[in-house]
Amino acid sequence: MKQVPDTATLIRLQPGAKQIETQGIKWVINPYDEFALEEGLRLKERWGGEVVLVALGPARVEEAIRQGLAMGADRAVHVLTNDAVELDVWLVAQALARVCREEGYDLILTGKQAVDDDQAQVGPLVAVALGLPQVTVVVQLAIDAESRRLRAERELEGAIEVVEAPLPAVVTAQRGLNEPRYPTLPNIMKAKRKEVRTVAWESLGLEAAPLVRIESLSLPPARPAAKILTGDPEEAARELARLLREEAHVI
Amino acid sequence: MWLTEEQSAILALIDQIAARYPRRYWLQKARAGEFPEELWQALAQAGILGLAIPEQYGGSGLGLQEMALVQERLAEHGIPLLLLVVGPGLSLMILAKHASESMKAQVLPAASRGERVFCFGITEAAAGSNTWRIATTAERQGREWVITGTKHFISGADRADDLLVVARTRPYAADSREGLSLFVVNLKSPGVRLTWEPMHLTAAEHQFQVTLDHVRVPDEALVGEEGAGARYLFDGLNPERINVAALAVGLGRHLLNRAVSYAKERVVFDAPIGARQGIQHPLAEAKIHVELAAAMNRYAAMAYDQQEDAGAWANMAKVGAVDAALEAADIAIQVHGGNAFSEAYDLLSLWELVRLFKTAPVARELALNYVGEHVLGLPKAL
Repeated sequence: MKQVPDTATLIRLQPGAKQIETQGIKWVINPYDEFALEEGLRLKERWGGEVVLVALGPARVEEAIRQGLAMGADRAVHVLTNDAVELDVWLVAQALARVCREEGYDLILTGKQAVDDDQAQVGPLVAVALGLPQVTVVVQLAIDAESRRLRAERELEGAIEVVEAPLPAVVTAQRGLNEPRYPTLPNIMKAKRKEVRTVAWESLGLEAAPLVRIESLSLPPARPAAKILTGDPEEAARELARLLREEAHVI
Repeated sequence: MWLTEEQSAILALIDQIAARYPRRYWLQKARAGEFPEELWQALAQAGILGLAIPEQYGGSGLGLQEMALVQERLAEHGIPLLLLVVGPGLSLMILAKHASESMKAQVLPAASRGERVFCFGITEAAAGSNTWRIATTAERQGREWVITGTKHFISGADRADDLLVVARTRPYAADSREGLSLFVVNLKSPGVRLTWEPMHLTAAEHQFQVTLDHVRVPDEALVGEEGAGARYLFDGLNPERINVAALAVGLGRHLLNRAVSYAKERVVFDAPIGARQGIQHPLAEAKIHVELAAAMNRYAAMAYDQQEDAGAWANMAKVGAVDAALEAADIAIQVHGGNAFSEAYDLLSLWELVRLFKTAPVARELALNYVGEHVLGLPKAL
């Protein structure tokens, strides 16, 4: 589970910075990870077992972890990073995979992508790191506990693909998989008493050698102002047609 | 800032619920005269209705501070609920403190789940704000009480299951503060009649005249001791004032947010109107007054939660918050120019509710009297 800036938050950048300005940002659980957590909770309600939340990031991530626990996760592991460490997806995936290996698993669920950097790689790379089958962009998931297999519907462009895979596996969640529950007040109260195991990044002993480095970061250029045609409808229509042909080259 | 971890989580939860049931949902329901049932159910399922009910009765055992934060945040999203004030924020507060063990065990778990909804009946046409002079009576007949009288402006009586009603069990005596008693009356009881009172108010709840015509309730419907109701009342009326102040703070913020985004975008005479001091300063002043009131109201709720006499803070916060919210409403209306009066902009609908709070649940003048007499030590105001 990843904590990301709320999509309604205004993103600011210092010139030359390789990270966004984190002051004053409203942080939320990555929405796709909420679908993943909700699916985990439903599977637990159906089959029993335990839902362990794994998150990576600085101390602020604790708030998202508590929210996840308040939704009903049983306990959590927080891989605590600091800003000095330069991370890329492969490092993140290796760290998460290491925690998963320590904890043990039948199924690893995560969002199909994070809405901040949109890389959509962490789930697949965790599967690679653990040597597990992966099923991505899942909109429906069924588990057969006896045969220890999963059956999933994947959303493709204009089509639904149905796949099967043995457990354990990594599944990444797409919007539509379910409707995540609210944390309830009693669960918020209980979440305070649930265990959050903190694992210092340094203690994982991963070589801080990212394969991908951010070179620069900039905001998209401001959109040019829209042209508004006024006046007589007939003339405006003629002018619109001319602009579409001569400037936009679309007709 | 000064929020506990739980309080932050509660606010995040309210934000999630409000995202699913936003102002436009609330407004559509209010204008259609329908109760926003889905919103209410979401609050019930999230455990918000049982927030201040002790854990052994199925609630979460939190206090008025959390309750007021919920009201504040709902109002900030433009989805205030009067039934949340008069039920969990008033009636249930009294019952949790003063009802017998058996009544608590019977009522509170269902109320926590939202299965028993309470409204509150105190106001009468003749007595007005002078509660000592209410004419509703309860007479003991064997193992029952017989209640007769008419209550006015009962918010949400059509949606509620029960009425916590204030009645006289002894005749009025100028020198006595005894003689008022509280009863839980099921609104389906024979002899209960609801008469809708159409209001000039955009709200989620309707207002009713509730007539009790020889309504018989069992002995167990009496809350606490006979005649001691006045003492219990303030454990509900102070929270009510604090909850209403919280609604005013939230509505004030909502109005200012709306005014600010309009002032940023509306360009007249070649500049956004928000760039002009004539607009900016009143907005800044209103913001300052709203946040001052928010801080004082939090203080009031803390006093109540710490079993101190919250009367002084509750009355001061209520006046401060409502004045600030009215200031915010007025500048928001002014900023929107003629659009403020268009139904589509939904601004006067917010003003109506804020303005109501200057009159009810306690008139501004009576709250000032309280401050004059009990805070400043002046002679009883005339």
